[in-house]
Amino acid sequence: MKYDILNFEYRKYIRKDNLTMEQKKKERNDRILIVGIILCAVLLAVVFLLKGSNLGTTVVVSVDGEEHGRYSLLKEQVVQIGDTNTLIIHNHEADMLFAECPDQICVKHTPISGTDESIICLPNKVVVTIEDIYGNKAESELDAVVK
Amino acid sequence: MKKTAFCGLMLALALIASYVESLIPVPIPVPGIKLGVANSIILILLYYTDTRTAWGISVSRVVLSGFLFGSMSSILYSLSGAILSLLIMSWIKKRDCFTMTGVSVAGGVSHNIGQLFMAFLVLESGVLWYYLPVLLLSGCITGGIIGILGKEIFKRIPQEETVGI
Repeated sequence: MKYDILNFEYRKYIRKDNLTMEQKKKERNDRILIVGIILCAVLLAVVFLLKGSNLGTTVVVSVDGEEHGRYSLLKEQVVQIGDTNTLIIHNHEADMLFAECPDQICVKHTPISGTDESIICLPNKVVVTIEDIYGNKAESELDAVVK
Repeated sequence: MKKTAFCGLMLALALIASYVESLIPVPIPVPGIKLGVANSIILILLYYTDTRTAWGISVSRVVLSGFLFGSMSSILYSLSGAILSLLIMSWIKKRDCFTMTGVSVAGGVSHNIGQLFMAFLVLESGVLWYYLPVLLLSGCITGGIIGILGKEIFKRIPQEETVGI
């Protein structure tokens, strides 16, 4: 049986169908928005990773090869490392404030903020390095070790 | 009068949502990431009432929860996020080409962007932009969850039963 355009049932059917079509269109738009934002985020992350910027966000302190703690570079704070060293994080830079050692090399070191920088206090075996938000650290300065 | 009572109720709901949220620890060590349960109240307000009411509740929620559970700086960050997200959400809702989930996702993402921008102004550190991909992604996920939540609430509580505005 063919449908008459003026048939009430048929018109109701069309209206209902249009409504769901509109709903479907909105849901499709939602998905496009979400996928777009995720793509944007991934793209930005890839760009930042490839650019390989040395802007750091986390200060990693290790003592005698073992990790002592991680501290945000964005927060003003004073970090006590054992009884021997005191590190201050100020103005997005990490600086060794005090060290109980004769040479005072780490205290004289300029404040660090990039992932390619580090402060090392040899007598107390304290190493301060910087990581960026993705956990990237500076590569070792040595290309290879010949035994 | 009925509207005043309704707004007070909604403000109380949004406040308790922010309080509960401040109790839940976030497993990710990136500042600014949270579920945004309070945002779901603002979202359904946007649908149940008008934009003006949503603005009032949103701003007073941020200021009050800042004084009660946070600090001055947290008010500053939340306020910039809340203002940007409400601007974007009301604009998108007016365009009427997304469902509640889409509106919520846009709101969550713009909330994070607003917060990041304020942090950038305060700390003056370019390092912060490296948080952008993480914050975009988290805003998308939390916004999606809140959108689904809002949709379910909207489906179950008819508009006539909330307030006759």
